[in-house]
Amino acid sequence: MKLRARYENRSNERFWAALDEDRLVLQRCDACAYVRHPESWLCPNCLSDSFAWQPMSGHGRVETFVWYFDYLHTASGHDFDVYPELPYNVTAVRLDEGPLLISNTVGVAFGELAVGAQVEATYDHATVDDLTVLRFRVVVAT
Amino acid sequence: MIDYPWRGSVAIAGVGATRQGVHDVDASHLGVEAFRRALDDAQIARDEIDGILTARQFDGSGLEPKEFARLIGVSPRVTAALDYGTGGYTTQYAALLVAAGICNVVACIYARNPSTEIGMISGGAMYDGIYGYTNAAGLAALSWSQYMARYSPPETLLGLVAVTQRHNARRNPLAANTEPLTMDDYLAQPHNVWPLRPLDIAHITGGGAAIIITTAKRVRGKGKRTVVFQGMGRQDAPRRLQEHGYFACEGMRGAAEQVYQTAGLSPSDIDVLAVSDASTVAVVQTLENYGFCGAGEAGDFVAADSISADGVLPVNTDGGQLSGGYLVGWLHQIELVNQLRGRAGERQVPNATVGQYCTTGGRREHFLSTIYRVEED
Repeated sequence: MKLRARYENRSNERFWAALDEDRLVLQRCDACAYVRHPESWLCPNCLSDSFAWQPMSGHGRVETFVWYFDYLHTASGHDFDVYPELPYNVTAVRLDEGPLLISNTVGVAFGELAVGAQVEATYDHATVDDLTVLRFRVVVAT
Repeated sequence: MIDYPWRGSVAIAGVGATRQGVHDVDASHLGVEAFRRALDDAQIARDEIDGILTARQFDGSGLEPKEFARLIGVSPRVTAALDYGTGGYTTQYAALLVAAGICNVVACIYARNPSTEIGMISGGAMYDGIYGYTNAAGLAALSWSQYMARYSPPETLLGLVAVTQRHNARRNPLAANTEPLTMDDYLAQPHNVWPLRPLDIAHITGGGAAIIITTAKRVRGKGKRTVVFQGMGRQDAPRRLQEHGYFACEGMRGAAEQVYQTAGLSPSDIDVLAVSDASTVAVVQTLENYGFCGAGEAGDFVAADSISADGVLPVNTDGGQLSGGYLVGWLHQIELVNQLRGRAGERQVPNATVGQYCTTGGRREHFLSTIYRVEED
C-alpha cells in the first residue's frame, strides 16, 4: 500500500522525510521560538514567516485516548487508508515542546493506557510501504 | 446596559418541522413541508418573504437557497447558505438582517434525507485516516476519556442524559426514536468507541425544519405569544486541536459570557435549555461551560434529576438529537419556541418564559448560543 502522495506535500515534506530517518521534526519560529503544528508558513504566535524544522525530543504525555471497537468507517461515509486490528486506540499526545498530536500508542492492550502516561515517539516503517507513521509507546505509566 | 438593536425587537414569526426519521422523498420535499407549516404558523403572506437562508453540512447536505427560492416562487433580497454545520448561525444571521432593516421577513430552512443522500452516524468527518481517527464520535470519546480522568464521574452520568432524552422523545409526536430505554439497557450496550456507546451518539435522521423571522412589531397583536431574541453569544476556535481546552469544549465559555451579557440574564434565569447534542457528552460540557453547574459537577447535577422535564433545568424536552431527531441544531430552536408559546403539549414546561439554545459547529470550531424570551401577554 502506497500513501505518500496523499499525505506529503511541499510544505510538510521535511516532516515526512525526517520520520523515514526515525526523527520527529516540527516547525520552530526563529523570532519567538513557538513550536507549531500542523505546518504553516506563518507563526500564529508572532506572525514571523521565518522558521526552522527543529528536532523534537519525541517525549510527551497522553492528554486523552479512546479505543475503537468499531471502525465507524461505513457510518462515516469514508474508507480508511489502513484498517488497524480492533480494538485500537487513538491517542492525543501533548509533546513536551507544546503541540498536541493525534496518533496511536503501540504495545498496550485495552485497559493498559491512562491519561497522563509518559510516552515517546516510535517510527512504524512496516504498516505503509512508502511512508513512516509516527506512533508513540509508553515510557512511564501513571 | 448596552441597547442592542436586535434585542427584544426581532421575533420568531412561525416555526414548522416534519416528522423525523426515514422518508422516501428528497430533502427539498421535506424543506417545503416544514416551510408550509412555518408559513401557516406565521400568518404571513409568501410574497412578504424577502430573505431565504439555508445551511450546509460538510457532508454537503442541506438546501441550496436560490434553488429553494425558485422552488417556492420567491424572489428575495437576500439568499445565503451558512456552512457552520449547525442551525443557530442561520437564525442569528436572519435576526441581524431584520434588525438592520435589510430584510423584513426571513425564512430559514434546513432539510436533509440521509436515506436518499448519505447514511452515517454523527458527523461523518474523516479526521486522520492513517491513525484510524474518524467520526465526531471519536472526538466526543476523546473528550469523555479526559473528563473521566479528571473527575471520575459515575458511569450512569451519560446514561442519564440518554435515558432522560428518550423519555422526552416519547412525548414528542414528531420524534424519530421512541422505543422505551432504561439505564440497564444503556449500560448493557457494548462500547463502540470507548468510553462511549452507540446510545451516546446521535444518529442522523431525515427531516425538515423552518423558522420565519421578522420584527417583533410585525408579530404582536395576532393572538399568539411573541418570542423575541433576547441574547446572542458567539465564539470561534479555528485552531482546533491547538486551542486551549479543545477537548473540554472550553470555547463554549466565550459564547456563554457574551450571551448572558447581551441578554442581561444569568444561567439561573433559564427556564428551559436546548443543547445541540451530537453526543451525550455535549450536554455535560454545556452544563459546565455555560455555568449551570461547576466544572466536574455535572454528575451530581444530573443525578439530582435536574435536567428531566420536571427538573430545575429541563434539557432537550423534545428528545434532542439523541432521540428526537438529528437535524444539526435546528429542531432545538423550534422546541424552545413551542415551549415559550406554551404549546408543547404533553412536554410543556410550566411557566417557561426564557429559553436558551447552545450549539457547537464544525470540528469544534464554532460555539453559539441564543436566548429567547416570550413577551408577556
